[in-house]
Amino acid sequence: MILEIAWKNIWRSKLRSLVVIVAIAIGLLGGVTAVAFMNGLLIGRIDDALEIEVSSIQLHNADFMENSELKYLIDNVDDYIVDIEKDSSVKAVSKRLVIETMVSSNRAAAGLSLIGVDPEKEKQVSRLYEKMLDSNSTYFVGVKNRPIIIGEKVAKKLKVHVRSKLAISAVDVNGVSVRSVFRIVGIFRTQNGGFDEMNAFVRFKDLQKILGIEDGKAHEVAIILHKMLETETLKNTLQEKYTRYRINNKSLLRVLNDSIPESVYYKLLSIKSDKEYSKIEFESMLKNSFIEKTNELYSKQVLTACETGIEVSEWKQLSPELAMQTSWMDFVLYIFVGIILAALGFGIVNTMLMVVLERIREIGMLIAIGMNRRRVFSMIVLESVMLSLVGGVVGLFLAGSLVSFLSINGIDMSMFSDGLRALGYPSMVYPYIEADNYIKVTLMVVITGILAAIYPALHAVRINPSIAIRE
Amino acid sequence: MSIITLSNLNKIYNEGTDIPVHAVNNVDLSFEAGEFSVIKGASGCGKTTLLNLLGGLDTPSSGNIIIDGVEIGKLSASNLTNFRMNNIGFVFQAYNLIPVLTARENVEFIMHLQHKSKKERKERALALLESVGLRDRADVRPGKLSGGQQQRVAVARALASKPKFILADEPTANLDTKATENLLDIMENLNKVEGITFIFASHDDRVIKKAHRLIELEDGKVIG
Repeated sequence: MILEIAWKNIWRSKLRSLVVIVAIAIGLLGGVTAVAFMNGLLIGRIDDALEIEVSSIQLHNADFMENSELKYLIDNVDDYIVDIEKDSSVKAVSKRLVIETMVSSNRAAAGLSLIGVDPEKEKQVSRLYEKMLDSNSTYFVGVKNRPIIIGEKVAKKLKVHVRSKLAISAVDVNGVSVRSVFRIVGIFRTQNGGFDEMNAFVRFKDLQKILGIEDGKAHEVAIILHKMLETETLKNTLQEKYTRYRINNKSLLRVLNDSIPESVYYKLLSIKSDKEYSKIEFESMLKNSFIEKTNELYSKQVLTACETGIEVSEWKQLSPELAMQTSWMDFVLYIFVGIILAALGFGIVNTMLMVVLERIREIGMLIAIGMNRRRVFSMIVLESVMLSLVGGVVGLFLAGSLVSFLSINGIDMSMFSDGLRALGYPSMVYPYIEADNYIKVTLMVVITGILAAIYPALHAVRINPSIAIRE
Repeated sequence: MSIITLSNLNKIYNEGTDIPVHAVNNVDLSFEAGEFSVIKGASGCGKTTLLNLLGGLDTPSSGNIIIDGVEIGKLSASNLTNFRMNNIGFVFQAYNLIPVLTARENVEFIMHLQHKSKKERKERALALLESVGLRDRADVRPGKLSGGQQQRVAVARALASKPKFILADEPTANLDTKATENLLDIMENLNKVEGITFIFASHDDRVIKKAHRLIELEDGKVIG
């Protein structure tokens, strides 16, 4: 019955309650939609980042990650690819050659990363082929001899267009300078201006031939998973299988750079050798040889420092800024909605205080006839929670409807496309918010209702019935 | 047998200041079960203060109040609230019904606090409304009832918890003659037929005329 009274009491002053409800609803509509918008922006960025730039997982020669020299290749790369393709979580795999080079046209030159890809395999890993600028551009179609694809910004810088020739200067595996001419078949434009400015694509076999790289070798293996973001399991499996560990001069230098204690450094120095270990073997050796309890804290750093062979990196490592933004999205929601609710909370405090002050005689009567103070407190808190919840439900319903509509139709931000491209974000944003966030926000609304009611409820329980009844 | 005993009861407002007000002054009284008593006196003589002390709504400056063998001054705040709920019925001058509840729900409310079943609550509430002549207005909210009808609902509410006695503070002050007579007849009848104990605080002659026992207060003292 107290629940019923609390509910009925909300509607005593309809206008006042409606003002609070509308304020909460608008606050949540704004807060949730804004967070959904940021989420959509980030998801758009992540989708493109993974499907065009970094893929889900990449394999490299461990030394290549530190120093992108031509010689740091993955040997027997096709064996790795066959092995990886057996995993059911893998959607596609593509090998790449990657060199830093100078590209020049008749009128200008630019330094960029030249990436050699197998076009058919690469299309399964990367959606770059969808990002061709116009109908003149193709994805390695139309020119048999040494086709090249460049970004729009590079094309502008070099003042070239489709069918123009570009000269590539590089150093082959023997250290000899080579120069080769490619013909532009496509100009791409992704949502990340930085990516467009830094990368050009040629066929794997063309680059392999120019650089004199033997068959079965590549710099990079790009893997895309069916569930693009869920990389941890496969990453760990591959790392376990492919990464080797060795304590040599290079790893010792890394240990020093990581500020690992000198005692650990000298112990590692004492067992330095060129022998390579699997992860299990290496961990077991560390444990048995010298890593004591106090040094276990550093064992992860030691492992990383001693990595050799193949290094397996997931998108979170390849693009840590995206990983950070993803992990912050929930936090952003709490902060955003929290600030809005805190502001609204003061409005609820004011309303509930008015409610109590207007009903002093009635509350006094309730206490007089036997309603204990705990129940009086609960009644006021319930009124506040119900009032907040009505606003919350209305706000979340409106926000849900709006986000749902916008998630299908999108928000066209093309007027800011230059700025967004510079940061790598899409100009068409599809707001999105996880379903469980609605529950979390509802809980936050309930908590706000409870907190906002505490002061008015304490005021109510302190009412002296003998005085209140005569008011 | 006394159900209420007041001994050496005092209530002093502004105690310790230059202008203390002795609202209840050394009162010794007792009330028997089944009484229909009226505490009378001019405005400000201490009637309401005495009634509030009797009902455990206010604490005396000194003296004892023993109700049905329980010295209420020794009860904790929450025990005193429970004691009021189970032993004392209140009828206030301004009715003080809950405006968002119907007449029946107002009567049921205290039984809800006593954790009575829904069925028992409903049956007793309707029976009590019947006894005050408002069975047909059970589903009407107080705002749609006249002053007299609201006060009759308040009487039914006061009876709902099966209290040992009912305290009525100026219950007729806001009522016209007809409503007053109607209300007093109902209360008198409840006293006669069901043995309900009523203690009034009033200076209304119509109430005083009905009293079986008159207690006269002047400046907080019982003078007759």
